[in-house]
Amino acid sequence: MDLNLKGKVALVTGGSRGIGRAVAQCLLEEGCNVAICSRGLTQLEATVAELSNKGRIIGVATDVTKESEAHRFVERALKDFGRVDILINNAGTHVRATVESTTVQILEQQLRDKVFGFFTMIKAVLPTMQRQRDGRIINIVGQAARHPHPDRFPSGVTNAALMAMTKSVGDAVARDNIRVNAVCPQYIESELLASLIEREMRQRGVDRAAAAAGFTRANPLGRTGQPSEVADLVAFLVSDCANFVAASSVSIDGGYQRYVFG
Amino acid sequence: MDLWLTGKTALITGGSSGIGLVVARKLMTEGCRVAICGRDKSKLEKAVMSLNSPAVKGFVADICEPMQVETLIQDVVKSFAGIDIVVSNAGTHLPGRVDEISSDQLCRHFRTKVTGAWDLARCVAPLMKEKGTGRFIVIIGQAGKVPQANAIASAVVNAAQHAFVKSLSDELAPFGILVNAVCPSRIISPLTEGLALHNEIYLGRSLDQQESRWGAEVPLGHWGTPEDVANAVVFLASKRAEFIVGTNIDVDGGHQRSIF
Repeated sequence: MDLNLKGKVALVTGGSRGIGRAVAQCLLEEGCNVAICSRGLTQLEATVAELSNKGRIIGVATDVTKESEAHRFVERALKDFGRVDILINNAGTHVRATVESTTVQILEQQLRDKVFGFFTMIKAVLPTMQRQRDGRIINIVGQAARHPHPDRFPSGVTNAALMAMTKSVGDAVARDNIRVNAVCPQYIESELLASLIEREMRQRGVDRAAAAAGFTRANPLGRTGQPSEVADLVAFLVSDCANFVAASSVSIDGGYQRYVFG
Repeated sequence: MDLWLTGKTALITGGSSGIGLVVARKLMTEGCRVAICGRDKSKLEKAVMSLNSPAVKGFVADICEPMQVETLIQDVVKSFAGIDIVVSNAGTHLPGRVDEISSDQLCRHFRTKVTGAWDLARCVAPLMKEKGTGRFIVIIGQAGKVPQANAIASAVVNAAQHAFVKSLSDELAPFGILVNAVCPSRIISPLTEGLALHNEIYLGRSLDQQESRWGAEVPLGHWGTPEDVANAVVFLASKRAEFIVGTNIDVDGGHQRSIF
């Protein structure tokens, strides 16, 4: 399947590790020029060095919740690559806490990182994409949006807001030929999942196998996913092969989510 | 992107025209051996000829008849020594209001789209379980997610298809068989020619959206093609989609209104 992504310019936030890094690698392999950003410079530089044999990649240390930094990231990509075709909003993490243990500060921080961070990046790339009359935006939104369990209150609230944002922005800019979609992963093998497994071991006093089983049992496929599997879906959705997929979402979770129509 | 589909065998029901035929062509291009099934022998033969490949064979069967489905699967397995991918696509859109559609018509529609797929699953699941791998993809028109006064029969039947896909997926995923759906809407095809749009142009729409004719032309502002639908099917059938299970991809230009 020819994805026709050669020469396209892609921005990946949170691109130095985990899913973001896998997306950057996949898009490089499909012939994109890629700009990644993350807050920490050390990991960012290491990832750029590791992926640089796959194609043209730059890294820009950026806190996407800060408007000026988000704009600087986009401007740097424009200067180096001449256009911006694709934005992958991925920066931020999953925050577990109950209603009781969630403080206003914790919730505010999560909303700031994800809702404001994604929104700020979208605002930063929109004028360019509107001028080009072509753009593809993917929001990576964990399945806490569909399953806001009591122990993941901050992520549940935040991710549901991101789903509303995906549809609203997607509706608003579709006529500019900008396709906005969400990709909804769950239980992908990354540092995040490793830390969640360790947390379960600590909190429940169980061994690694028992803690890991709690995750693999939660989907009918019975295994965790790989960041590269999420990256393949992202690459398909930003490609010309998905030109009629807009303002929607696709789950990639081994069957975890329980919605009939979702 | 290499989809690693070379040498896989795919069966597409309702494969002699429209979306089904384009899915067949795309899977063939990706290196699959393709069985297309239809009710009408001459239409089917014409479709096989149009694909012009020794990797394609036609099979006459009516999906509504359980015995015919059984024979179909036996014949495909005999011809291709196995079956890796099923695309359940047979059936059409049934427009009309409740006073225009008899319960008999509704049941016939249900037989094609739900019990037809049910029998297909019953016949192929044991074969796929034995191999420990397989794909089952159902095409579900967006009437399943988008209610419409003039498409009540399609809405009811398509919603049942969604329940079927999610439940079947839960049942078969532990065996490595991945069940998913692709949900098209506003696709240019013989099926949608002269499709009458009613109050859905206005219901739930803001004045802005009413004036820009969203309900008719979708947020993207144009209709899609059968190729758009086929691309999603082929991706889901591929090795690139091994963690996508029990879900669906909307190929509708943003038409459906749920944020989930």
